[in-house]
Amino acid sequence: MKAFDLYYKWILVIPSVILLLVLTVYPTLDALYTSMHQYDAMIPEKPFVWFDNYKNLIFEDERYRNASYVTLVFEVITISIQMILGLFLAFLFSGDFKFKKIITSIYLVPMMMSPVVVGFTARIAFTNDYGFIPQIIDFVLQKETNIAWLSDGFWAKVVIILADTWQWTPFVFLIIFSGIMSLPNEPIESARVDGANSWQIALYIVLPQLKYILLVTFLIRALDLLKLFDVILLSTRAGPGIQTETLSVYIYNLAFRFWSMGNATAGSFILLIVIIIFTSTLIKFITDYENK
Amino acid sequence: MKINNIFIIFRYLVIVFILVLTILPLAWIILTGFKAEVEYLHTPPIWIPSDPSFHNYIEMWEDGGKDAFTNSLIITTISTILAVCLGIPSAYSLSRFNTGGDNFAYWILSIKFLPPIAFAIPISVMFTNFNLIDTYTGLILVYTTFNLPFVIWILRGFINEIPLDIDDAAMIDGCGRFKIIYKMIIPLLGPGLVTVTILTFIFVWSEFLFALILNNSELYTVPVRLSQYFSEAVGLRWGPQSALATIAIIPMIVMAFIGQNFIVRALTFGAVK
Repeated sequence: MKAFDLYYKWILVIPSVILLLVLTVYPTLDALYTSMHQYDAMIPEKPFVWFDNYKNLIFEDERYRNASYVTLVFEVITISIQMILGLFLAFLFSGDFKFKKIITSIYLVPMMMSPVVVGFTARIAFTNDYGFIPQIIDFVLQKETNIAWLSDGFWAKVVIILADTWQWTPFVFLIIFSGIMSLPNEPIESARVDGANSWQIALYIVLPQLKYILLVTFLIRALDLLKLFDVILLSTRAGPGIQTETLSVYIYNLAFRFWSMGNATAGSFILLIVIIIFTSTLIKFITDYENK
Repeated sequence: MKINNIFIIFRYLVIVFILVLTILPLAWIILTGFKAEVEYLHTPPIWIPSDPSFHNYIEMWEDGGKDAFTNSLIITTISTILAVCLGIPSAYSLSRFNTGGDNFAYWILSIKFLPPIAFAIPISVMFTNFNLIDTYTGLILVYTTFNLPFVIWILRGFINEIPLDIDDAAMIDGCGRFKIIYKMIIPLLGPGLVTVTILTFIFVWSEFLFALILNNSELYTVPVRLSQYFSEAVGLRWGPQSALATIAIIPMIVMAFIGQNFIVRALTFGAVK
């Protein structure tokens, strides 16, 4: 490296760094400041209240507790379904069959769509009387089910989970599938020569080698689901009541419908900390893998 | 052998089933865009429009769709170009000089995962003070910034694979760093750069939360326009809404097919090559 490069290397990153500082670091500090003040649209004074907003949210706010619970439900159930389905499909697709390439491409279309469109599609597809999903279910079961898809707390959660699964299982599938394809062939071949069947090979030879990829996929999805927002606003609109209101949606409502900025920023700060913990784990895995 | 045959049949059944599940919802919104109002609000639901026409498209286009499409196109194109143009030199610097050390690179990547809602609230206050609400500049600033981490991190990985000899040879020929970047590095990035650009374009095009918060219903993008139909007291406008949804996804699908080369690597941030 020349002496000239010593400051030149910084010139190359400075425009990016300035943007990132202005639009991420400054807002974070500003949010931290706001979260420690009491905000009330009616009163001009904004007294400093230490961590009262945090205490309020965690210990007294029922709606915040509800949002945490809803987010956790979506997180756990949706990831489980997507990981199992994605893994299953990746194994299924790892063999050869007709039209494999075109089928794979079609299967990947949902993950390229805006989540907003997926939410809208879920809404019109599940609406009773007009939507096609209740129609098909009634047809298959040969009876009137009359499930209140969007107006029952349980079924509304099912709609969100199905919409997210429809969109993101292809993503999980694609990554695991590429992982399987990049594995060395010799151990699989020699196991086959030794008389192992497909399921044994999948379970004892392929799966252990996919450990890192599964963890990375899991963490990327976990992080996305913690931020679930778009699909909900377009499909159930957090309803019925607040039964599908996630943390992001509640924080949004606190800030832009109730103008309770202190509580909103406190809520977003707690979410930020949780996500930073997940993120540092994910980055550790990504860089471990990159350096291998 | 018999077990094998059952497995093959089972596999075909699953594949066909998955394919149907993928296509049905897509077909439903595309078809709904061509139905008359009595058809999309009909019990039992009607699949095939009896008299398909573009009247929903025309209504959608004249009722804000055109503005939304223009806004989205301008904002997305400029933000994508800016993010890539600022990202390439930064990625080069990070790759060749390890500028700021590993932790600096990790900090940049981590921004990609942080919750947009946490930034959106203070940024909305900030933008109100600077009169940036309802402006192209505001949204372009936000989208450029929040896509930089993705662009920088993925391109850094690609540049790592370009041998250092290329830089050295160019330097002996008297090229400066800038010249090396746009004469040698950019052409060598090739398909990797195309994938990153296309994915950035898709991310910006689909973004909803910032677009929703940083406008006062004057400067709306396609996702925001799509959400507004629900808050308008005009009944269920599913026909025009489906038309808008359809034109929102078609460009993305076309782009995704073009950019398939390095899509896995980019979407896993280099964890899977």
